[in-house]
Amino acid sequence: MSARLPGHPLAHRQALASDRARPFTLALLAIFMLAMLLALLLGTQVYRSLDDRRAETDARRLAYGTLVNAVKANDALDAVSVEHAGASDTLSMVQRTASGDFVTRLFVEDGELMQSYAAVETPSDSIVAHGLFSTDTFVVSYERGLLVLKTDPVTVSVALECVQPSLEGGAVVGGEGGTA
Amino acid sequence: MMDARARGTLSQPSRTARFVGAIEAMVYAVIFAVVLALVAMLFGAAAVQSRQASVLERAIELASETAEAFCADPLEVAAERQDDGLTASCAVDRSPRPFGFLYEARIEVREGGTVVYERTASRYVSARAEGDRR
Repeated sequence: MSARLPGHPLAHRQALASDRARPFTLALLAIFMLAMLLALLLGTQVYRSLDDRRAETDARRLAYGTLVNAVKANDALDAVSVEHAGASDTLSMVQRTASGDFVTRLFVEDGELMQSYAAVETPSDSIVAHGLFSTDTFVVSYERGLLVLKTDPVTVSVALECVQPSLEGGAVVGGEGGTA
Repeated sequence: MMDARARGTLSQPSRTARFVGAIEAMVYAVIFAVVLALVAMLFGAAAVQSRQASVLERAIELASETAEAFCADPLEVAAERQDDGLTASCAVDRSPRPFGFLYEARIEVREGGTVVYERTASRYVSARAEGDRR
């Protein structure tokens, strides 16, 4: 309310007190800012970790669901076969209908797992395939009714309901499979 | 005379003001520390929940793998499978049915000693097929 002139003794003392308090205020401000920066850093790291984990889980879930659905949808008697060509395999699943036979193929091309669906007699150069997910590895193995597909993001096991003589390399025996 | 009076009147409010200022700063610091602690707790809880979700996802995958292996061959399924710190145990129960046997598996996935996920799977095997397998 009462403004003091600069030469007034009270104004001089107040200025001195203010000068003494300034380093403390600055230190407090610096501590607050540092703590806020640390909190921000912690928050970004937590968010990055959450995002990485979510992306990895999404990739695994996508690969798992896609492979299991593709195999189970085409699980029929002597429908599944594997061609070993180079480092990765090609999985072929034949669907026999009254209109003819159609084949679903899974194979790796340019670091991506590709899926194609075409009539059996379609020339290979005119088959169009679409990418499912990124992987450099696609190894298929089969043992006692269990088809195992190994890819980079995930390894999937599928119990085939129908026997696959072409995978077993022999005649149909038993004829029983199972489902989970 | 004038200086002494001025000193007397000035020193008392100045100490009080400084005391009030210090208390005020302490209150700010405490509020700030509490807010920081709450934020850190929230971040920690988010990280823990994310890890739990990831472990659950892996556990479901491992349980599905075990169930598929069981259904492919219930007689030869491994009692325990391990993957990425998780252990899946498969307890198989066999009960006779007309012309065959019903196999029921109870699959538990544990991390450490804690059960993360459990499920069951069943498979019927005819007596003839079981004889062939054996």
